[in-house]
Amino acid sequence: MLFSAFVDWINALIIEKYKGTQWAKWGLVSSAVVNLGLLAIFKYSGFIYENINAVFGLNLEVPEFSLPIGISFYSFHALSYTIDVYRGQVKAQKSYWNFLMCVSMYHQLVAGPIVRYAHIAHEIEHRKFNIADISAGINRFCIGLFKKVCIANVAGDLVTVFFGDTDPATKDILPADISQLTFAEGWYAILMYSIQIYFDFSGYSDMAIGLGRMYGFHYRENFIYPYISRSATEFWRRWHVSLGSFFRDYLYIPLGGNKYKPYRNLFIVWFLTGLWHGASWNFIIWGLYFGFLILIERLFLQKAFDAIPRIFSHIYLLLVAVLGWAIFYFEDSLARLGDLFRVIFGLSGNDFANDRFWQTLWANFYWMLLAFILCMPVYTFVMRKLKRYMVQTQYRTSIGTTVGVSILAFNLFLLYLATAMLVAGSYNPFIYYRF
Amino acid sequence: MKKHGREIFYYVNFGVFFGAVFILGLAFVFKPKEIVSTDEKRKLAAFPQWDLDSVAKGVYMKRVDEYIKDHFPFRDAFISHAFAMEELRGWKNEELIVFDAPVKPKKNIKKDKSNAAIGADTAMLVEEVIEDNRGLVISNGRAMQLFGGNNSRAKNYAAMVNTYYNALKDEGVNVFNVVVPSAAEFYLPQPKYKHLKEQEKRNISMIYENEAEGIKKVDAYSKIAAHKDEYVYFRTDHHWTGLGAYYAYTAFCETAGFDPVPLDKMVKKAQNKFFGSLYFYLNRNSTLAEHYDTVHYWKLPDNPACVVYRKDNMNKAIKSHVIVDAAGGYSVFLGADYPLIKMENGPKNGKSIVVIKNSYGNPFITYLVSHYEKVYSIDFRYYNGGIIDFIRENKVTDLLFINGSISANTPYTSSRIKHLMYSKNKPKTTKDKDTTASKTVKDTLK
Repeated sequence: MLFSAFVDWINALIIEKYKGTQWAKWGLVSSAVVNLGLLAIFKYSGFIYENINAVFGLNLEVPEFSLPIGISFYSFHALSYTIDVYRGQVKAQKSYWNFLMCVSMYHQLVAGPIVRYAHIAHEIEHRKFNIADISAGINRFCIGLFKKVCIANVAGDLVTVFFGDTDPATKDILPADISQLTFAEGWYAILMYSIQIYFDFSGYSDMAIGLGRMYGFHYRENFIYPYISRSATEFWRRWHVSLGSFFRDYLYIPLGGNKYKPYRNLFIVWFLTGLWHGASWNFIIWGLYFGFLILIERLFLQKAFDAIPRIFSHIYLLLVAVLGWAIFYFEDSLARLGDLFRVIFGLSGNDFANDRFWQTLWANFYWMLLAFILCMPVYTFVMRKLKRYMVQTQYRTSIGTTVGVSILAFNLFLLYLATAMLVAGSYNPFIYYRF
Repeated sequence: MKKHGREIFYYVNFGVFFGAVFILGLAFVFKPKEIVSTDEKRKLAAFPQWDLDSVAKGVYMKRVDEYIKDHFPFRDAFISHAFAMEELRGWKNEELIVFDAPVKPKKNIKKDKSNAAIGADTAMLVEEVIEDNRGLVISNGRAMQLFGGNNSRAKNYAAMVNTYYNALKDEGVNVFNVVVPSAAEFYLPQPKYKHLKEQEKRNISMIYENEAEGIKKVDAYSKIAAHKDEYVYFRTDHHWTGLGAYYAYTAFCETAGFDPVPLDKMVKKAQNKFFGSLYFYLNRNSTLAEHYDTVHYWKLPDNPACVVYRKDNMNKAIKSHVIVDAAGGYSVFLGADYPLIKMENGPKNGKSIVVIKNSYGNPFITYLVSHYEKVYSIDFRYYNGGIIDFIRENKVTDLLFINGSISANTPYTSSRIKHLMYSKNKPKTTKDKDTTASKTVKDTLK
């Protein structure tokens, strides 16, 4: 990371100095080569080797690297900076330390969002330490922590009940036999996975945004209630916004966007979007799946949906998104994905449901309702109503105090819940004595 | 809110949040640390040793993480609140089936390898891997492990007992075998579990049928079945009660030709509020909490003395008694699972018996001291020496195997006991540091 930040910092200075000349172009190219090259070596070399071996029947030794933390995020961050400098949209950062700080800020390093230098350039140099920001950051952080620990982790445990464990770190663990699942279990499990991945990712983003805010940085929103979308196109404007907009601004539009060879551009963008998520074919399929959906929506589907009641487009989006997560989940084997599809489309001949399904469903029913509700913009809605009411009411002060105290109590409650659940995660009982 | 009020709120919010984090941090640093968790029946993580390799591989930080979680301030309170919260996530039927994901036991093994596990502990893990797969059922306020045995495992166990019998029959040693059914055999709700009905009965018959004729088979099953409406199994623990063991003991007396000591000739004691292993295993399930157990136990008026050997130093004899009230819970029977216990204060009749057991045998053994001058209890999971040699050296007259049906059907049980037959391992001393034990476990696995 030190190296990649250094290269980008130097290149940006070169680009700015020799603006409009060949040198600037070389600066940009070398920066892109270094960033994408490092990403390719660390993240994709194993995948590339495996595929070469498979295609040519060779037996090359697959190199193993441990993946540097957050490489997918900081490479893109750094790359966006040099491109913006080249385009003249931002000024090059004179200080290496300032730039390194910006790239290595821990809030968003691990799991996004992909912050762009341009968005925080001003704040790097004119940052204000502001108690209102700290307070707002705390609120945001508590919500993010709650989403991660109390929703995403719980949903993850439920997925494990049906799918078994495919954690890459513990690969030798027995994955469950998908072909034996009942119809209801199959759907329930991918629904839970859809909840897990949304709350996990957006929870991390909330925590990053909250922490950033405590330090005086205002990052852009990364998740805007994606599950209320009405098309795959809209979904991607709400899901992982920083990634979608990165590919749009730095790849799709430069390639020609909608004007020049749009189908080719769509293919490239969605192939790479899939690949960015991980070095495995299922991610590529998943990316292309969305590319395809967006394509048919653009061609005719959107018009059709506009003509019928909104509910249908909501159902359509939820269905394709959830099915998409099934593709996303089975990183280890496409055969298991096939098993799952046979189960959930009723081709496996398995039962409709079993005890395990009913018991799991009821035992987590209230929690599931809560998770569903939190997928919708309830909080925003309530806050907006409240603000509107506050302006016109005479009880402004007392309501304000109540709201303040409730937020305090709410934060503490969320913090306490998350801590309790994290600590309980270490509860590891044995039937037989172990000491 | 006025501008002013808003400002105050910001500061208070800031103070409360960082205050809470700070207090927990202080508590973590200054609160004394526990070493073991009795609820979970395991050692808590120790602070990891620093070395370059483990840091590079990321193992080090993972263990620091484990350490923090295991020693988190107010850990017990947090855990019980989290479980209470978990029950609010929805509603559960009175009857509950616990489906163990295949993940759990394997993960533990992995963790233990990196901790250079104590041999005996690894041995138990092996047992768990196989035993836990069938899951658990809670019904009528009682938790039950589902039986996972089959004919080939039954035959395997019988073959092991036969090997001992064949080795000892010329020396005139009587060989007894007791296989005890588990609670699920009697209390699973019917007709729902019709398909599991009497499966343990069939399995135990299979074991007995495959054993040599000269082996004395104890029909504990019928005695317990006849008394199944009494308090013969715990509701929250995977063991039987002292009373259940007593009925098995009367069956043993019939086989061996003894007059069982009547219960009223002993002193009846009780310890209330016993929360057993299955209660903790099921994350402190609230249904089970309402149906907590009472441990009833019967003590001979003189409560005979004995000596016990701990697994960390087999050369040191420690004085104890057959019943240890202070140990509490199921441990009142024999005090704990010691590798070897010598009870040598029985009636002077020249009879002696070696009992090969795990924890299931403990209450049963407490009744034997009235009939044998010398009773030797060997826990096959922790004992390392050769059993045949032990019998010969001590001129033992009887040998008895006692196991629950689940553990008799665990391949590890048979192979481990067979392995101990002519084991040449020397008893461990503290200096040896358990290396011998872990080797034998590995050997058996091969």
